[in-house]
Amino acid sequence: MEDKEDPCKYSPERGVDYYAAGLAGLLRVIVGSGQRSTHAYVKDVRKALETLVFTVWDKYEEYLDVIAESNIPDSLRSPKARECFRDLLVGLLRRFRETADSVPIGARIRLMNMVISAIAEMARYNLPPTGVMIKNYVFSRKDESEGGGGK
Amino acid sequence: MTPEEKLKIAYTLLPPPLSALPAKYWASISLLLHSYSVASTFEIFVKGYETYTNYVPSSTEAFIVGFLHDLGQKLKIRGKHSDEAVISWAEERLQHYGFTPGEARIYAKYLYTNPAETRSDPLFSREVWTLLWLADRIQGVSNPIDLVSLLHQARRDLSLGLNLKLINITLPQPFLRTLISKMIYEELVDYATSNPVILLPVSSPMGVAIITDDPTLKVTLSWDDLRKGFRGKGLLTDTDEVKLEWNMHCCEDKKCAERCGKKSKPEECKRYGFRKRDCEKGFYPGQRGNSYKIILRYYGFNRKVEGDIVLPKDVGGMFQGVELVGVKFLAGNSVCPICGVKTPVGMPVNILGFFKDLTIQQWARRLYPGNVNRLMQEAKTYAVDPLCLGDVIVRRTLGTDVLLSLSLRTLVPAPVLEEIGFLSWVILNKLERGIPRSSSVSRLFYGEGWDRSLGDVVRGFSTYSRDAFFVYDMFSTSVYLPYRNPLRRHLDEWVKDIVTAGVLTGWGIYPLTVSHLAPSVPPNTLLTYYKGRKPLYDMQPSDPKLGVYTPYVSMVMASLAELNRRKGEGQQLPAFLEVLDYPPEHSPVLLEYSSPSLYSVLESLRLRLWGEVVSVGG
Repeated sequence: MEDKEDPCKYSPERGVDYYAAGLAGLLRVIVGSGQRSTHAYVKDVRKALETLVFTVWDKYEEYLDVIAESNIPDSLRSPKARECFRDLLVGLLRRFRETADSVPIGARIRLMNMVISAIAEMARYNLPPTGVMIKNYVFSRKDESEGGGGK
Repeated sequence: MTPEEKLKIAYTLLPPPLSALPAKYWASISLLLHSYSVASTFEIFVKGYETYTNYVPSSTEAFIVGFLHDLGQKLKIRGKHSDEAVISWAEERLQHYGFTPGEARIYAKYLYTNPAETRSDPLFSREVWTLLWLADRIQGVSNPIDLVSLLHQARRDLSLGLNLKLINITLPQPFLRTLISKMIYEELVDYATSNPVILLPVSSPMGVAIITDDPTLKVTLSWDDLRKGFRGKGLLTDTDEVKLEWNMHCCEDKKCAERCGKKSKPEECKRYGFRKRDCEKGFYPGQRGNSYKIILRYYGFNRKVEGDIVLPKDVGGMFQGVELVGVKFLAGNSVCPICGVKTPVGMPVNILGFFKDLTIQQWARRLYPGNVNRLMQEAKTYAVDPLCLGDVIVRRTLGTDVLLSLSLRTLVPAPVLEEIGFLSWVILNKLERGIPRSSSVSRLFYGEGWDRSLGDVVRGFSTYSRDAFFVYDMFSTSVYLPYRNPLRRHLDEWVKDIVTAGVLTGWGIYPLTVSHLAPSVPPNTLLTYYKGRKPLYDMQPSDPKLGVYTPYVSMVMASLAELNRRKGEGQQLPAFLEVLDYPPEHSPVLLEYSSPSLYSVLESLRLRLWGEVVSVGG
């Protein structure tokens, strides 16, 4: 039950959209002021998803933790935020693996690109309530003022 | 209550895209349409029942209780909700509409007591709740015959002689049927207004069931009514009547017919659309030639030609329970190439071109299969019968090449069918003629400024009452709306059609068809599109597993407008129309991609109805 209450942890009730919104919430604090088209702040999520889709799709179970652990943005400093990011990323990868298994590989790659683009767009412009909730959960007001982005 | 008031309450309680939530597992009908139908039916019954007792709810009370009866069970996003959260949502929305907190609390109680099933509640008598039970059960049967046993039960509980009169028009001409449907509906409304009776025509895909306490009710249809057309000013335009009359006289005048029958016609004959073949090839009992005269005899209004109205004998059986006045039925030898009926009155096939150049899509046969080559050769035995000609004339009044249709499989009261047709027309009018802008689209979903948008739409009922044009057929539970002509680019058509369908489904108006034709069978999928199929909108909201995604799917469809805008602004987007390529279970994440702002709206509603408290502390 404790896991279920933790908004960052994996729960089968939560869809890909939940984890994407949550990750966007955390990324909101590191959105830079650079070129928007580069979406540099989502590169870690992109790498993690690409590894899942292109490399370990059939034997994902054993790799999810490793992929998530090794793709946490460096600019996310707070240990709580890093832990939440990792958990959300595991959730995203797992749910993505579960739901996208039935679609053909080409569509899966396009869907992956859409998820990444969605996270980038939400993090920068339009954070949904779940994203706001996760951001507030992880960053106290004091921490929030230190964040780079945000509205 | 006026439709404006009813719609305002309905959409205050169930704003789009919550309106799109599914209500049934056996047929695709939205929670909004189901609740609205039950509420309207209950309101009509209660009004009629006032003759028998004084202790009935007011119209508003009846409508709200009827509307709320199922919401406690079915107001679920992704198949989940919390009872307390739904009650608090309903209370808040009712207060927002203008009820006091006390009144809101009383009404919200009906979310879970469901008197439509228990038929007992201290506020009103069992008889009153039986009327609500009946209103709800009408939507639960799949054909009008099943209503007989329902009424039998209701009659016992109400000690009221409720009768059922079944009427049906099974003509294969869908558009002509809409005209007949309108005339019969108006006659019923006039009758109910001048007599204090319970009278509710219930539309079904298999005809109309009239529930009434008047055992003497007769339904008649006069052919002269059809001439009046939809607005009472004639089915044919004045210009057409002038042309037809000129051509008719020209046919009768040998010199004129000869002059206009030459290969190089004088300008005058071209202007009036005169064709020698139309003059010679028409036939009518005891008379040959002059198709123009036949048309004016059947459909003329200001310049009508006197004479008997003769229809094919086979057609006689297609008017069930309706007495047709001023019509003779005769056997014929020629076959109509469109409907396949043997007709005693006919005109050459190309006469249809006088009214409308039919595209190949519109040349769909209505009844028997046949050889198109023979049809195109105009073999002697083929001739268009007056009913198919009437169908083309009505189709032409709809104006546009592509139509938007709503066809339901469930039983719906005829007044509701009319109101929903009007609502769809107003919404179509709120969207631009070309590709809808993303700002106009998002305004039509719940969110900031929603009250103003709802107010706008509701006001549209009085603003547009004269201009609105749509037709509905209560004999097949369908509404047909003029929609659009071809656009410059194929892609523009896709975007416009899917966005429009997305907005309408968000408002609970589905299953839709965008096509040149009227659908012959009511579909069960969200959108039937003449250009192709995509798993996203080809879903069935009645599907127990996938139906829960309907609000998300409607929003993804509508969000193509935003993707289109962002693409126009030069944003690099990994996909555009491809968002339609995924099964509905992906719709939440697709919506995050295509429109984060619409996703946020739906996400807020989801958190609210799931009763999740958004944590704000560390």
